[in-house]
Amino acid sequence: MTDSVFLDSIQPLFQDIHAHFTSQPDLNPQAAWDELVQSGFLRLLLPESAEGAGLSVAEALPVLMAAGYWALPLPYVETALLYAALPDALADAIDGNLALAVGTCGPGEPAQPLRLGLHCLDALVTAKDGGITVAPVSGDVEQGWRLQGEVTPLSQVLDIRLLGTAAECLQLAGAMQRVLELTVDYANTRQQFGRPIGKYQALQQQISVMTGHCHSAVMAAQLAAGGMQRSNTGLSLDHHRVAAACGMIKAACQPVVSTAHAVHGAIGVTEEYELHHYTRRLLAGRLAGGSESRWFEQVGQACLDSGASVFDFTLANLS
Amino acid sequence: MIPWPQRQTLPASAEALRSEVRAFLVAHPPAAAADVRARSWMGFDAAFSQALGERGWVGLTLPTQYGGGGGSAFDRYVILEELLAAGAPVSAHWIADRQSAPLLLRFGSDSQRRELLPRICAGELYFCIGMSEPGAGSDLASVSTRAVPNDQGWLLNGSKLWTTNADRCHYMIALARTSGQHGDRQQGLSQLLVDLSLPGITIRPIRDLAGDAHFNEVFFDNVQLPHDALIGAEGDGWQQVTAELAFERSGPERILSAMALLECWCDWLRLCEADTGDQRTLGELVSRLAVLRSLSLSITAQLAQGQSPVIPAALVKDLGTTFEQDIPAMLADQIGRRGGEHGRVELMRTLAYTSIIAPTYSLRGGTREILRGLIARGMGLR
Repeated sequence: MTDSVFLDSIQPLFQDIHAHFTSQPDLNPQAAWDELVQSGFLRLLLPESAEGAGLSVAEALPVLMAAGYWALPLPYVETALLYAALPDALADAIDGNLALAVGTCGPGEPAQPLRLGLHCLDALVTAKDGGITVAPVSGDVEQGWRLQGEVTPLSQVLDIRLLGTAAECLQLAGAMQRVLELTVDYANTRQQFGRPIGKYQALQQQISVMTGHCHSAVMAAQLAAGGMQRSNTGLSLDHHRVAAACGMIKAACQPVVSTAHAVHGAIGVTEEYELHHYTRRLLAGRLAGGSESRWFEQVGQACLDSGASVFDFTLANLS
Repeated sequence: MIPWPQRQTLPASAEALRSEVRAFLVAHPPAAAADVRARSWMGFDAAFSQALGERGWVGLTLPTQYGGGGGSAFDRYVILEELLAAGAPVSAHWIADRQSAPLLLRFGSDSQRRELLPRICAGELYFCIGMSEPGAGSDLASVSTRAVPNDQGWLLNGSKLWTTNADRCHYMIALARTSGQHGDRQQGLSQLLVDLSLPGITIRPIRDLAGDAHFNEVFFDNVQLPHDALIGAEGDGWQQVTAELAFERSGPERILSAMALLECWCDWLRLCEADTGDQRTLGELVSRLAVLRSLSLSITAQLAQGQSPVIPAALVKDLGTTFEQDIPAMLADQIGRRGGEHGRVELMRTLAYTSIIAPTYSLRGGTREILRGLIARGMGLR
């Protein structure tokens, strides 16, 4: 993980939530959320004038990825990014420290956050009629979420689906860092035929390939963060850069999951061992907001439409 | 664990060179046909290399006292990627610029530096790498070429194989055993500067499966080298070679080998009706290119700081050559998916050449399987 004073200060709380969620497991989601609110970290990306820390998304990235690394089942990254994206429109919500996420909420249908397994939601930001709205919701992760109250249209223009997908992908990159660590540790620890299984070439080659996927995903997260710039009016998304990065992170999910489970053997498919919290997240996260093909199609279309060479398109839009 | 990559964008001063390189390429245009440009690495054109040298773009990062440009690793990166993306014939000065000059600067004697580096920077002096042998490919430590010290210097006997451009270069930097026994592995190896015009050297070109002759076998029969042929310290050859490979394994040349094909296909797609399958394939390749380029630049940043990121460079090379090999594999399917309706002749020629030569991408400079072993060790396995 990258050195960061912000990360150092919040990581103990993330770790504590992780322990209660995965190993004990006795998480009280609302109490955990309240602690996050207390920490002030929901405002990481807001300017100091709004009681925020004034970080750019790139500067905040170690913290945002750590939320995935510690498998937080809370909409922390989603909320922090939405506060940054819609500061004026959401002024009231921010004052109340509402827990937000991107999702869909059609009339008469259940409210559906883009990300599965989320606890503690107060409202969904949804795309509607070419604009975006805030839809208050109630419910929980088992029963599902329902619209509860008045929908508020926002005047701001934002590709909310891309933002929600990016929020998920930054966390997936963090989750892959953890999965790689778990896998290497296990390969060095588990002994068969009288030596650690990590000594066998067949596993070394697979873990090397997995390392490549994880490093690509981490770099893609940095590219995406660089394509999300905050200004007075909110967050502007550099569509091609963020879409390409999301595609790369999503494309890494399945191979990383497959190798992690292959190396772990039977222990990896037990409820007790923490791997499944991550691999479940990676499999669901790959789909959330659209799989890699959805985003790759958009990038390919943009490249063709640009009329530029592939190399020049890459330099101009994805460097 | 291998440290996680840190994104590094190009400094504005390096980015500013891009338009200068493009202007240079207008004045010295690469071949028009994509299947010729696809041979960029193997295009040997001394006039092009000298023009590049006159412009100050060979040995760009070397100190000015040795004729270099005193530029940064990022300046060099921009020039290389522009040349490679354009399919320029860079093969003549390529090895000297990339590996031999930095090696000589770091380990060479003062007289070696003063004599050789200015001529490398002028784009006039070309080098090849004498590593592989008939019995020493991936197992490089088993080299059996031997240099025995005598009163005139070193007496060299043995042979090298797959030596790119040996028939057209002035010097080879050869890895040879200078002390100890054959079974001593990494101990007792040294790097020696071999003037390829010396008596006792026979060079035979080997034609490749695409009909090109770029690599060679080289035989040494009692070749007398002077005392100062030794580069660095006797017995330090293995460490020097390892450091050299960090320069070889992470640059834009590990990403852009199949760009001529990708560009040719993209041009063709704009003429026909691209469907979502084409868009998806193009989008994947563009996205992979973007991430790879960022990873490669993060290695460049480490090299610029004087580090020797051997294992991160191996990781980028593995990802990069996989990308380069996936381009012809994926595009063959995309083009063929349209049934009998094939692309234009230039596209099909470029596809055929790139497809048949692509296996070499993950052989040169260390095979994929060896690199993955290095990566595993870097991750703390074995």
